[in-house]
Amino acid sequence: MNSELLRTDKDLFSKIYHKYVDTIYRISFSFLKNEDDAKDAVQEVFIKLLNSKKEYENEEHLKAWLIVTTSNYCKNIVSNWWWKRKTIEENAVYEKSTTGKDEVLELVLGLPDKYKIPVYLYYYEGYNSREISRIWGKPESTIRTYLQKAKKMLKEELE
Amino acid sequence: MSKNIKNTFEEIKLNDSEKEQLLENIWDNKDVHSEKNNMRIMNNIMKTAAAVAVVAALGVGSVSAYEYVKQLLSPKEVVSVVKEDNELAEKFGKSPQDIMVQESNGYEITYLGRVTTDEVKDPTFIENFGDIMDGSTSIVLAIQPSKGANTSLDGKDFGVVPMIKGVLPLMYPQSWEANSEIIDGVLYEVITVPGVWDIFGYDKVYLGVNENCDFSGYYMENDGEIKINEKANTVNVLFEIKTDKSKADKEKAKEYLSDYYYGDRDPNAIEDEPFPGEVKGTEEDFKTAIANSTLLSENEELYVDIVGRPIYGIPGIAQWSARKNYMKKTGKVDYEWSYVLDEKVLYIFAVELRDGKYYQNVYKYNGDARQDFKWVQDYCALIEGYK
Repeated sequence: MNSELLRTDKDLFSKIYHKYVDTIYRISFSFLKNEDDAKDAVQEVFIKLLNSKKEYENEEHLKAWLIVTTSNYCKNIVSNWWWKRKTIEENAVYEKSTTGKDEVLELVLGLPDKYKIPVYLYYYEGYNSREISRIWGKPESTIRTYLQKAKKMLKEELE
Repeated sequence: MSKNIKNTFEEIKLNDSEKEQLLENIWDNKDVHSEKNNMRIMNNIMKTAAAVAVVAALGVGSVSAYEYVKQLLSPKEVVSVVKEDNELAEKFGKSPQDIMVQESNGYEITYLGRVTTDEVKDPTFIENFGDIMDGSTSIVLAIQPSKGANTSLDGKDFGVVPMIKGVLPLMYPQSWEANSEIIDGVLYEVITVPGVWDIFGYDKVYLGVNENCDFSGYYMENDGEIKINEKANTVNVLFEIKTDKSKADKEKAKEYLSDYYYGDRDPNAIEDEPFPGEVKGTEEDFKTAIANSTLLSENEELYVDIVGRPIYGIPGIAQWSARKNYMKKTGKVDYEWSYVLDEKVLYIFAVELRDGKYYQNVYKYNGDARQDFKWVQDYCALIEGYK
């Protein structure tokens, strides 16, 4: 599959988009913690896809690219100084609006960034640690450590 | 808990009308976005012009400021322009740097230097990497097409693979963050990795730079030297990094590497076999396979790394840590394996502990492993999904 083809065939692109938009949105939301920034991230990632000029061996390869690109994009945003300044106030509003509404969501969003992708891929998408290692490009031992630590953090809070 | 987390993610979604609106935005802006990228490059050229002025003020000797910039920006300028971190830029400005250049597959990769700091201020970096290693190391690279080569930076993604002698590449932290920009036809990267590299200065420290941050571009020889895997047909170079030997600390290095590998697991517990989700045959499967295999090498003494892991395998083809605790506590042979998909070859490694040392016999299966063993079929199905 070729991203040049995606740029010229809207039907094909739409099919890919609808297949993965929820995944990209969920990952973005877990990093950025608000709907507007997560929507921006979805837009940016899919535009990057259309402009990437990459060849994809198959759809799993494409999905892995989308997940890694989303993670990198969100981490760049979070580390940007103007985003940090902007979100000091906006996060306070977000926290006020969600407090008490969904305990598990708050806990998941509060996890360190490095745990979010493996937690999402493991618990929601059902990948095992080796598969996550291949998607994300981090050693399997790192993935297992992250999952163990995230599980411990969540369990302690939920008990 | 699993159901709760899954339900939680299930609720995070866009409604149909939001999805359609985004789709239209994306499609309408795909070309406009390209123009925005061009504007960014124009802004970078303006910044380069500012950098010319800075260089002129610094005075760089016989080379004119413009010529200097046309060749490459200094690491201080790169950090200032690409990462916009003036404090880090000053540190680069004050540290003498070793500049190294290597070429690979039509690209020239220049290592412009590094700065290591014990103190990390960025909370996101601390959050992501702080419990792997204290401190951080920032590296500046410049990547461009080689003179006369018909190559381009379009669509190219370069990453780093930090490694140390005597440790398999994948057993060393491979997490890093990068800021990059193309300025005047050169891709500049400021890459930050966790850790104070100098603690590993008791032996060699390396930095691999290749496309897509591919670990398989490197392997470890039986004496611990790290080498480029020539079979990985990609842009791939290896720099040996100078360290401050006075800061070398083997005990600290051992502790870091052990914490990184084992995490919360007990380093002395019998290793999980197989790992959840791992594909592996039984002891009987391996004995059956060995009965129809060619013996490639016998009683080869294995290299044991700083954490005490015996490394089995064939350098450049497959290497990993054998199950030392399993062998110590049961007295049994540890069977390991590797299936090389492209060559359709199954290698089996029978590892034994004898008199305090580890030895392997290496076999090559004579039959069609994918046809004969379900666990090989399952493994191939998994790998082909990500090849």
